[in-house]
This record gives sequence, C-alpha cells and structure tokens, in this order.
Amino acid sequence: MFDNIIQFNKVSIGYKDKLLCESISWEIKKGTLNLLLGANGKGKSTLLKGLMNIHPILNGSIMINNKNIESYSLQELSKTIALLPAKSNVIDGISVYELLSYSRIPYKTLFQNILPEDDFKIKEASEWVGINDLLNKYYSELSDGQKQKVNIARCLVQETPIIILDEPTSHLDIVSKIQIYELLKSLAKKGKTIICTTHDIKDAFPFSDEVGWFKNNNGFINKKSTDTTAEEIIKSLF
Amino acid sequence: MQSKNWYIIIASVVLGLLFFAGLFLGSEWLTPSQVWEGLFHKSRLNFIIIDLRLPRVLTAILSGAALSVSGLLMQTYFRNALAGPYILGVSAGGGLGVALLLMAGFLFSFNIAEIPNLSILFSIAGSSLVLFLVILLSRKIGNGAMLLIAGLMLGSFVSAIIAVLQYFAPSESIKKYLLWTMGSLASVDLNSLIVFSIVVIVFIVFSLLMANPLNAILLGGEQARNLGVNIQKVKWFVLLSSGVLAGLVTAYCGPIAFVGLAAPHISRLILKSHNHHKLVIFSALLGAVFLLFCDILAQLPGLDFQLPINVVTSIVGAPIVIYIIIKSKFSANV
Repeated sequence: MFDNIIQFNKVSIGYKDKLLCESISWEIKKGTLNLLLGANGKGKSTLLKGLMNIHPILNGSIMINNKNIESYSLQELSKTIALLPAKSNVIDGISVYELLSYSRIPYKTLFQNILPEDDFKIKEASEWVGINDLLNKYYSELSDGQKQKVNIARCLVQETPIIILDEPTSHLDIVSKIQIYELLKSLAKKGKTIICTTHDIKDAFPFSDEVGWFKNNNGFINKKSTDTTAEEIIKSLF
Repeated sequence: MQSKNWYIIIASVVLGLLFFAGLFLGSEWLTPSQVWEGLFHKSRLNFIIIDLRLPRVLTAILSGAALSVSGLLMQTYFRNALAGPYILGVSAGGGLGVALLLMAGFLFSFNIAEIPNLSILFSIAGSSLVLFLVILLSRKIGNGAMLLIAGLMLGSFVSAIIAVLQYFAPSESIKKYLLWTMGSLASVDLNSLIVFSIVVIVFIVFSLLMANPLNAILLGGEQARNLGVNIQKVKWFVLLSSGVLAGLVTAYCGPIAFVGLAAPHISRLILKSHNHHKLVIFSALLGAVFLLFCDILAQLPGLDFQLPINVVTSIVGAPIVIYIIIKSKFSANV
C-alpha cells in the first residue's frame, strides 16, 4: 500500500500570462486532514483545479496513487476525488435524498436508476453525518450548516478515497464550523484523505494533520500541524 | 418511488381514454359501434375514422410528447424554467421557412406554395438553420444563460425578417401564413406519421438513456464534471434532440405554443422530483395528454367551427402556468 496518496512534484501553477507559484512539492498521506491556505488569488483554487485535471498545471507533475493525474479519465477521476465546491449551484426543488442519490452517477451504466445497494449507501452516509431527519426535505430549505453536512454526505456517497472541500465553512456560525471540522477529522480517521481550503485558520488548525500554504512572498511550504502553530502560519500569509 | 410509478400508470390510462375520446368526439359525435365499424369496415365512417380522426389523434399524441420532452431537455440544460422550444428560436426558424415559401412566392413565375409537402421541407430547413446557428454560437458561448439570451436574440431577429416579408406580401399570402402559425394537427397523413413517430420515439428513447447525465447537470457544471459527466457531449445531445423534436413538430403542425414550456413543469410538480428516469416518460405522457385534450376541446361537437389548436393551448395552458407559479414554493427564485 502507498503511504502517500497524492504527490505534488515541483508543480508550477498559473495562467498563460501570469505565473502564480513555482515548485510546489507536497506529499499527502492517506487518511489525513490537510488544510490548504493562502490569501485570495494566491493559487489555492488553481492548484485544486490542477489536482482535478480541470486546468492544466504549467510544470511538474501531480500523482494520485503513483499515477499521473493527466492520464486519469473523467470516469476514473469521478471515482477518485469528490469535490465540495465553494458555491453550491443546486437547482431548487430537489430533495436531500434525490441529491444524495445523484452522487452514485459515477457507478451507473446507461439508464440505471437507484438500486437497493445505492439506497443502502445513502442511508449509511446520512446516518454517519447525522442528517437522517433531513432526507425528505428540500435542499434549498436547509440552513447553511445543514447544507454543508448534506454536501459532506454527498462526498461520502460518491465513495472516493479523496475529498476536496473549497471553503466549506465560509458562511457558517462558529458552532457549525466546529461541527464540520470535527466531522472531517473523523472522516480522515476512517481513511479518507481530505484537502480543505479555508480562511478560518484558527478554527480549522486544531483538527488538521498537515498544512500547506502560499506565503505572502510567493512561495509554498507545508508542515505537519504538530511542527507549527496557527499564529506562525497567519504571520507568513501577510 | 412506488407512487411515482403509479403516476405514470395513471397518465397512461388517461391518455388511453383520451385516445378513444378523440375517435368518438368531433364535429360529428360517434357511438362506440360506429367507431368499431369505422375502424374495421369500409364505409363513410371508415374515411372519418382512419383518414381524419386517427391521424389527427396520433399527431396530437406524438407532437405533445415531442414538444414536452424538447422543453424538458432545454429547461434542464439551461437550468432555466423559462426555456422551451420557442426560446432558442427553433420554432421561429421553422416559421421563417414557411413565411419565405408563402410570402416570397410572388417572386417566382409560378406559385411554389401549391407544391404538396413543400412547406414541411421549408420549415425543417428553417428550424435546422437556426439550430445550426445556435450550435455554432454554443461553441463560443459556454454559459447556459447567455446562450439562452443569444437564442432569444436569434428568435427576434428571425421574427423581424418574417415581419418584413409580411409587410410586402399580398394579403392572401399573409392570411395563409397566419393560419399556419395558429397550428393544425390535421395536416399529417398516415404515411408521414410513420416517419414522424419513428423520429419522435428514437429521440425520446435517447433522452431516457441520458437520464443520469441530465440529472448531473441539475447540480451545476462543476459538480456534473466531478461526477464524470462530459458536459460538452450533453450540450450537443440536448441541442440536437430538442431541436429535431421541436423542429419536426413545427414543420408538420406549425408553431404550437405552451406544451413545451408547461408540460415539464407540471410533471415536476406532480412527481415532486427532478429525476429524469421518471421525468422523461412522465413529461412525454403529460405533453401528449395536454395536446390531445386541447385538440378535442378545439373541435367539440355542437360547435359549427374548429378553433385553431394554438388558441386552445394558450387558453388552457396560460392559466395552468400562472397557477403553477403561484402554487410553487420556489416561485421566488426559479
């Protein structure tokens, strides 16, 4: 078994006319909660887009399970990485159960509707996250905290080894924030590898195993959470 | 889940009842034994049933289903409740084809509008042309809402050209054109119906096969991609299918309003679900029921005249749509 599930090897990110960051190297271990930090526009999203093969990286390589990300097909990727995007764009009038069921699409052949084993996985995930009582409600009626719990359940139903969350706590009150990070921490203990961007550094830091961040002077470093403090990170962000 | 299958069964039964009602009712009210005689024995009734009423009823069913599925595909892809066959200008394109044929005919030495089935060819050509332009635009415009607006612009551009034609055309041609725009389910014979039904059924089956990708689109492009769905492929599928379905109906029956917009909405509200596995079939059934019902209303016995189908779909459809908007929990932000 590989201990490192994701490897960034001297990755450069940016766009045609603008280099954002050079030689990012980071080895992410299986079953860990990793925070990806940095000021807006420093390259968090661009790095994640590279990891998901949405926007190509400029240089270097990104490997998942020792296989270059560029050689993953869309289908393989959908069974490897689940994404919780910063802006949820779910159409109105969809129930939570229906929403969770759509996370099984990567495992479906043409015209295959929900099967009993999908139903089992949906129930299992919602029990685990603690949203059983929300299954028949409409997603659009939920509070922001409930929505994010549902979104985490969606990632679980998708059954991927890696979960990426883009600012999952940005609209939440402090209680919900802590609940979400507790949830993510226990997910990591279950063996999921989690990368999470956030601006709530002080709230998230105590739960993290490792932190990677874009420094103010255009560099990237990563440290074990036990080897640094939230204060040190915040200082080097500014 | 089980209750949703019930809705589909109920809709099928209603459609079956309306099918027979469509054979019995008309400007002349027939008894069941007369319909039986008309179906299976050579007589005057045979002409009424086989040559007049049966094609008309089948045309209503196929057109209703086609327009409804076309509207459903557009509403899903554009994530916009207002999308429908009218919106992308496909119907307007068909209208332009027919308008050119009927109103620019005076430019030719003989009356080309007299040639049978030519209006169908012109309408399909017009719809296809607009559809082709939309597909070209879609390669430049990634955003669904913007593409919708571009389609609207295309539609009003085409309508303006039709208005110019009307301005210069002789009044007799304008009347013919206006009659065409009111729609008619009576102009498809049994032979054309074979082609018509094959195309409609093939594209509805395609839409069923696309149920999972269509469901993923409901979650937004980023999420759909994360679920392994190739959005470009879905876009092409939606443009092609909805364009062909709506274009074909427009060609045979004229631009029929409301079915494509209203039937998918009513279906979603009844099923309380967006899941295309059920929604595609139910929308097709409901579209067929709606159009057939309107057609029966349009030629109720006791009336000395037949109302144009478009008048009835609008009179029946508009209040339904308004009712849905008021009842809908999500009227504020659909």
